[in-house]
Amino acid sequence: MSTALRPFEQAARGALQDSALQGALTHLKEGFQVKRAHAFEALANPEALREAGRAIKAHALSRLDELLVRFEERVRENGGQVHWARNAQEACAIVTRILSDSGARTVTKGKSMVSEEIELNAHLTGHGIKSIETDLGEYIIQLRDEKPSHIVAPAFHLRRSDIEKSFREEHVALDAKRALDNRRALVAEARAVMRGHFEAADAGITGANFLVAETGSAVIVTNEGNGDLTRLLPKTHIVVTSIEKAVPGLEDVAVLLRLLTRSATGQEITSYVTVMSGPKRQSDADGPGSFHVVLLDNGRSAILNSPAREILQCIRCGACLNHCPVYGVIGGHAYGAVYPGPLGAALDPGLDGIAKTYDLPNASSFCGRCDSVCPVKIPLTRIMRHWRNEAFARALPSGAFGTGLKLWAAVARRPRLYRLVAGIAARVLRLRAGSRGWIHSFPILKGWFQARDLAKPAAKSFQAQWRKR
Amino acid sequence: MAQEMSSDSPARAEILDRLRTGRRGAIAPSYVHPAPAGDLAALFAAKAAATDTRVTQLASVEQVPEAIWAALRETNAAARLHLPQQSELDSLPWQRAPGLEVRRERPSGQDAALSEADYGIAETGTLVFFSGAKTPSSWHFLPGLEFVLMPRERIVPRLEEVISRLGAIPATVNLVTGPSRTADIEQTIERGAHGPRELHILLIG
Repeated sequence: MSTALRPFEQAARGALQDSALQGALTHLKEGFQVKRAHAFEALANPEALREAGRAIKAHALSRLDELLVRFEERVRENGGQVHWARNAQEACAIVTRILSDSGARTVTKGKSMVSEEIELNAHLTGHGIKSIETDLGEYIIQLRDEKPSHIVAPAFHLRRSDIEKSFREEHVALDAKRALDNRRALVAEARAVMRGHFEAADAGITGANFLVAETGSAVIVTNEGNGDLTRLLPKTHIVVTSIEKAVPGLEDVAVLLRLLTRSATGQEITSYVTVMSGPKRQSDADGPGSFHVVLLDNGRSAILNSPAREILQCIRCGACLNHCPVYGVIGGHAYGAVYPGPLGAALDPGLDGIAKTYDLPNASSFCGRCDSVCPVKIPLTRIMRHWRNEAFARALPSGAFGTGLKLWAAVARRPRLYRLVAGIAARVLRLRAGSRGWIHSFPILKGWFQARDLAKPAAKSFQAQWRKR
Repeated sequence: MAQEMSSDSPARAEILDRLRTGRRGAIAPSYVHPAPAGDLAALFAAKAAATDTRVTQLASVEQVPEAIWAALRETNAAARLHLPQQSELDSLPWQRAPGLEVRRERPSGQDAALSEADYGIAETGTLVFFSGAKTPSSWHFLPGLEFVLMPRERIVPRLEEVISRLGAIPATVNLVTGPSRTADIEQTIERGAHGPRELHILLIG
């Protein structure tokens, strides 16, 4: 292996030594795992619900073109417009054009991972449009110029003191001597500051958790209510979302909603679920005057035609992150991709290409916890394996690791050679272990043994023992 | 109008073409989520209470003004209540709460407002609101305290029953369960992130 560390390796090492991050990651267990487990235990038949979720998404993907055309028709009938974007650049350009057509200078934003994916904020800033994130977690990381470290809890990695510091630096108009040493004060300050932004914004941008073909609706699932004020107060509402969010009807949303909120935060339902179907009707007391939906592909239609297809079933609950032993020690930033954890390892190679994302499907212990908690039963480890095969086929694993893999393949395909080599290796390792039960180091495998021990091999191999039976 | 906006845009055609080749046979799911049985109003009240919502049972809608006045006095809040313009709620006997000032302008983050729910969902203790001429959707997010009038007979078992009763879809349908909350600071729940800090349901009948 080449001695220079790749960016992922470097970031992962940094994360392991970041004591603040390690402290935050301890919240995964009580914060997410336990709450999810309780929420599912309270269901009469959680497996039937998961299977229903899988079937709804698989069925929707099998006729996605039809659903999106129907969705577009219905949005138009409701008085809105649908825009199609092949990639991030097209999506950003569409948003900027809608904003400039309506003369918008400031926008408020609800939480949207798709807008992170297309780096919309940077694009808007480049076009002289002020964009303010209004989800508290997103607002905090926007102030700090960071990326989300978790798809559900973007500021998951930060401490209260980090947030206090950011607020004091940003909210300079407020009394410098004010107390901000508790969560309540921080939330109250953000609430007050944000009200001004909502009132002043020319347009609001939200994401969507689901798109409903039969009614032309975008559905958002939140706890704060910022997405609603983002839609309702400005005169233009733009939904930035991706094509795989479409389902046939609201009944499908009712089922998926039960899975999404339980899997994400352990709630039976979040504080707010909003079904948004077009601009305000003429007689309505409030609501946006115009309504746009930007549908992003960005590699998804190609994924649909690949062995990674089932990753498009994902409803972005984050359960696979919360239960992943690798995410659990390195957090979200180390992955260096918009979608971290097992979800990202299965999705990012389809969006960004395997050459750029080679490390992600390899950053897995393949324990399968992600598969077992996924609310829509995505075979995440199988998809990661597919990307690993792709990487090998393109000779991406380089240096000693690549040579090692080829050597292993050559030996493993030849039973006699395999028995011979395995026999020699076992004898050497037994010698190395001596009277101890474990091997703690080995001259040519220093890297491997740095974080691992190997049990002393048995005197007779499994195959030898089997033959004797 | 620019190219992407029309239905014959190259992006649209290209995306739909690829999705068409991705078609597979898949069986339409037939799952039915079990509906809660028994006293729906009792389940609704218990579920709402479990999400930090205050629930007060009232025998009749006539008692609403006094109940709101009493609740505001209890918390030392100003005896002011915001009602939308030309609201159906105008017909309530407000003279029964003479100390309560009824205001018509949009509530701020400190104010109390009153709405009426179109439906209640027993399974989760959820309030359902439709946008309309007399029912501004933003009023569920602007006030610091929201009172909600919930007639018992409009409580249905599940979200599915609300969907099956929907006619033409309103521009905005809000499902509200408990006050606004955030766990974005150290994974600990704080109320009143953007919407109401407190939600008080007046269950009628």
